[in-house]
Amino acid sequence: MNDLRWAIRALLRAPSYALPLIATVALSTAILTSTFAVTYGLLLRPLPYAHAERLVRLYNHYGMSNDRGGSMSPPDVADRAASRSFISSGAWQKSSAVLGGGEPLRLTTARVTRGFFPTFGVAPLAGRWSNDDDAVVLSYATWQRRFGGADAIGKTLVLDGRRRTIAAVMPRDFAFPDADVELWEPLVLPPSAYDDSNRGSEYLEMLARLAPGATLQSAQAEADVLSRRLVDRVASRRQFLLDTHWHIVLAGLHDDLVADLRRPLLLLFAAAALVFIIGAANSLALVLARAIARRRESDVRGALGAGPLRAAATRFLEAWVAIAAGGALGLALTYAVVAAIVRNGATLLGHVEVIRVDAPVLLFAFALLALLGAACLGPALGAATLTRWRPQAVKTAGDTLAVRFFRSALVVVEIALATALLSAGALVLVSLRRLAANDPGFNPHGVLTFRIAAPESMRGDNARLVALFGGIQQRIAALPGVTAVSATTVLPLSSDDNTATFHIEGRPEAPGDGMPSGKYRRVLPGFPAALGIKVVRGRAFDARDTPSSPRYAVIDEAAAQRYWPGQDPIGKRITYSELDAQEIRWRTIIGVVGSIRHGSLGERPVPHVYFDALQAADSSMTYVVRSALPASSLVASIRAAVHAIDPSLPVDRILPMDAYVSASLAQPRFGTAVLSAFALVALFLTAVGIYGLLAYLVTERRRELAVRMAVGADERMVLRFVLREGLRLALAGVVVGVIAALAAGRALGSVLYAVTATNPAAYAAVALTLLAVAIVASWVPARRAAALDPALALRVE
Amino acid sequence: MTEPLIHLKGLTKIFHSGDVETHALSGVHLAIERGEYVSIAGPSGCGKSTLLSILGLLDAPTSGEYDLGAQPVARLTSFERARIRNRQVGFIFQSFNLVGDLTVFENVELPLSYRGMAPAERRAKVHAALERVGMSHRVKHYPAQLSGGQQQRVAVARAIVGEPSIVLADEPTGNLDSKNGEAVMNLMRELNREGATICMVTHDPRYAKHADRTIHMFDGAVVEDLPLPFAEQAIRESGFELR
Ligand SMILES: Nc1ncnc2c1ncn2[C@@H]1O[C@H](COP(=O)(O)OP(=O)(O)O)[C@@H](O)[C@H]1O
Ligand SMILES: [Mg+2]
Repeated sequence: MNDLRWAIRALLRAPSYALPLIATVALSTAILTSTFAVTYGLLLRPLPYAHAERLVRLYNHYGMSNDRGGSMSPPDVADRAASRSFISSGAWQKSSAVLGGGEPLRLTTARVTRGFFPTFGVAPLAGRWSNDDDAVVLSYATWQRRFGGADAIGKTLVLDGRRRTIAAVMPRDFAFPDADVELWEPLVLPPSAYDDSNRGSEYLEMLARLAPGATLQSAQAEADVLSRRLVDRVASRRQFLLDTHWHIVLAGLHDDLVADLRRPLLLLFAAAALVFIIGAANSLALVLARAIARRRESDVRGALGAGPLRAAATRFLEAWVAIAAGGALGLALTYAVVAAIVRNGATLLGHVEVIRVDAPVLLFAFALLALLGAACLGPALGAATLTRWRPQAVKTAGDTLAVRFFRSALVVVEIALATALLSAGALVLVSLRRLAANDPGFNPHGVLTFRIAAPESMRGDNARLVALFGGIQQRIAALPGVTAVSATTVLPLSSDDNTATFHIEGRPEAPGDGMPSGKYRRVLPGFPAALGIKVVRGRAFDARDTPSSPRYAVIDEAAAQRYWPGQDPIGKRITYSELDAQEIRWRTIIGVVGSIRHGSLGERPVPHVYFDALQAADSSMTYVVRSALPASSLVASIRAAVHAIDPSLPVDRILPMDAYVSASLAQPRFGTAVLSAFALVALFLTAVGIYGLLAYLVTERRRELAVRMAVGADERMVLRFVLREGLRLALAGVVVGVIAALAAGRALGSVLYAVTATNPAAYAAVALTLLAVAIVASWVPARRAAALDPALALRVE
Repeated sequence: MTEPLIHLKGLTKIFHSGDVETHALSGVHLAIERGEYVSIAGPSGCGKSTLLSILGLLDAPTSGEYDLGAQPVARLTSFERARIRNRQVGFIFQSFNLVGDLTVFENVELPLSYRGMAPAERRAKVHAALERVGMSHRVKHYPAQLSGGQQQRVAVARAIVGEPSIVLADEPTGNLDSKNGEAVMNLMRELNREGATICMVTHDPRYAKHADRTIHMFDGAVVEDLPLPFAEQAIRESGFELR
């Protein structure tokens, strides 16, 4: 007890030891624990559903694409649901609905089948499931926002003009399929939707719970049998399904949710672990230096009869107190960081609601601190017993060689790890810059976008849809300052997509994967001009095209090169067999436009096919308005133009096109920012480490330095001598670090774009940075050494 | 009469530590001729080491004049002092002060490398110096592998390797047993016979008698300056406790 009091007192009296130690522990613990909280939350924490490990996702997988797979049609959902492997299942479709009363407000909704909620096995926070078609279920956030948490069950809302009753409120952490879902409404389909003729209408997502005794493997085996049977089900689809290697794919729900995040998160976790190791090395070095400086004290205690543990007690107790203080600070930082991530990270990380600081995370932090505390015993005890092992140790300058070697090794390890981290940061940075420099194939600057979804009542009525979408285009074109306006069903770099296979007239169907495929979009006239896509050959849709014109298609260069290499595609005819299932209706290609990158700036452009939306309108379109006016002044006149046509029509997702471009870069940008921040902290800790070591060396070797001065070394020589010492450590660390980084580069390769993990310029820059930092960190101790009094050599210790 | 090698006139040294002023030297007058062997005696704290550090240009006096080989050196920059130390002064310390990381050879070579001498020339001089002190069989050893007496002989080699004008020794036998101490003293005597100018601080009257002349200090001043054999007697009569 006395020992602890002495330790605290000693610590308070030595701020130059306590503060760097506490700061180092706080910083490195916070970084690793927050990263753990995110990684654990997203990758390891059980989902908040009953026996979540028994939940599986189902996909229609077409062998030509290497993604997980696509949505399913209602008949698909029906026959999968009958599978013996599942005890229950549910399907859903992300949608939206307009909330009436005041300014029309669009809510993000999910339309869900009756089996949806029961499959999760989560009880509502309030209310009960209802089979009533007019019942809706609120998310926790929506309930809080609209009802302030007051009783809402039985209250009504007007959605899409229909009065709905609130049947239940979900708990806070139920966020499926996404955290942005504000409300669930029943998905009610007419019995005809389940006809085999609708096998091609794939718009439902599906989830099922494994039956007792079933496993993912056994369920997949059953699905394989079903797949083989279904190929023959509809004669007209048979060839298509065989060509595309269609089959049903199952995936565990959790794996499925985090599939894309796993690798980047594990990389960040590894980076954070390196920062922690650097911090730990720094802490050990500090404790060792302190123990060496105070070893007389433990010697005296030893002489007074204390055992080695008691003799060193003050040293490791004060280290433990500092670690505890640093740990507490680190945990406070962790809470702040995690709160910020949960607040802002949803678009990047998805299900952020599972990230929090709770028992497993706290346990992890305590384990880290305990490890650090145990490690500090080494230097504290070692230094205290050093003189006991070697009673002559203090006599000559060379006697603390073992200690000096240990400390140098710690610093070399720090420099090596910082080099590796910095290299990773540099590579990711170069990769991000190359990515951002890629031409999307269109000009996003000065383009404002917004989405209009036609009212439910118009769906399927082409004439009314054309009148609506065409009318909006005309009104906006007439606004002052607008140079071009058009609309598309799918905006590039948005998360939407539509891909399908098509046939080319007169071309025999290649077996297997040879079927042509392309992203298809319906666009209003003038689309290339509005988005800034160049027209390469022929023409794009324009004022000549009307609902009654012949059926045309416009393709892009990627499609032209892939499917008509060395030929002129204009005048050739294609058809989307699945879209035009009943009779074959050919479309004539009238133009070729420039390729665009749809999914991300990093991907190779893939074939696109454009149809005229006036001939077959979709129920929602995204407008692109090119104007020199600032977006803010445009928004009001756009709203006015839309409301002049239909005052109840909400104008959704008003966003500059640039926002889609930067959103597509958000994930690599975030990763790069985090990694760079880690690298900078690592660099800072390393600089502190180098400084600490050299300051210690200069103190420890001041007699030797004075002797060197006595035999003729001047200030400059002593300065150089100490700087060289720092540079030598840095060089050793950089060499080890570059080798380690090259070895670890394979892991990084998968997240890099257009830059190899062996990029020499990046490593050169990192090496120079570290050497420069080493010189800066060595400068103060070197100056102190040069200012030593050479007469010290005469003094007897 | 030729100019003495070392000439001190009214030398004072005051140390300031906090509010405390220590007058370590107060008005020292002293002349040392070339080839002389001088020993400095006096009680602990009387300023012997301070005097030696000024003689060896490790430190500058607070006031007074110091001519070394007719050159005034009392007020030089630290760079000039380092240069003169390197070329004209050889130090021998009580605690040997060999650099633990360096071999015997490298320790002796140190002053020559600071001088910027070519490696071949350095090698010859280092070997000659080690030969002179009888340590040429230990060139590759580290100080920790040597006995105290051997270490001090290496230190002597380091002091003479650059052929300095003066060798300064501060209690060179203080950390040695009497047998090794005697050996180092004999070595100094021989060096002096071969022409080296030596100024040595010692407590031990047995060793003081090796010198031609003993300077006795008290409270920062030279109180008696006697050639042997009077010195021995004077020390005994002074009644100061000798340690
Ligand atoms: N660097 C210094 N700072 C302050 N006082 C000093 C310093 N060096 C020596 N002194 C003081 O000057 C006096 C003479 O010291 P010193 O020359 O070492 O004596 P000696 O070698 O004769 O024992 C002593 O009082 C000592 O405390
Ligand atoms: Mg002394």
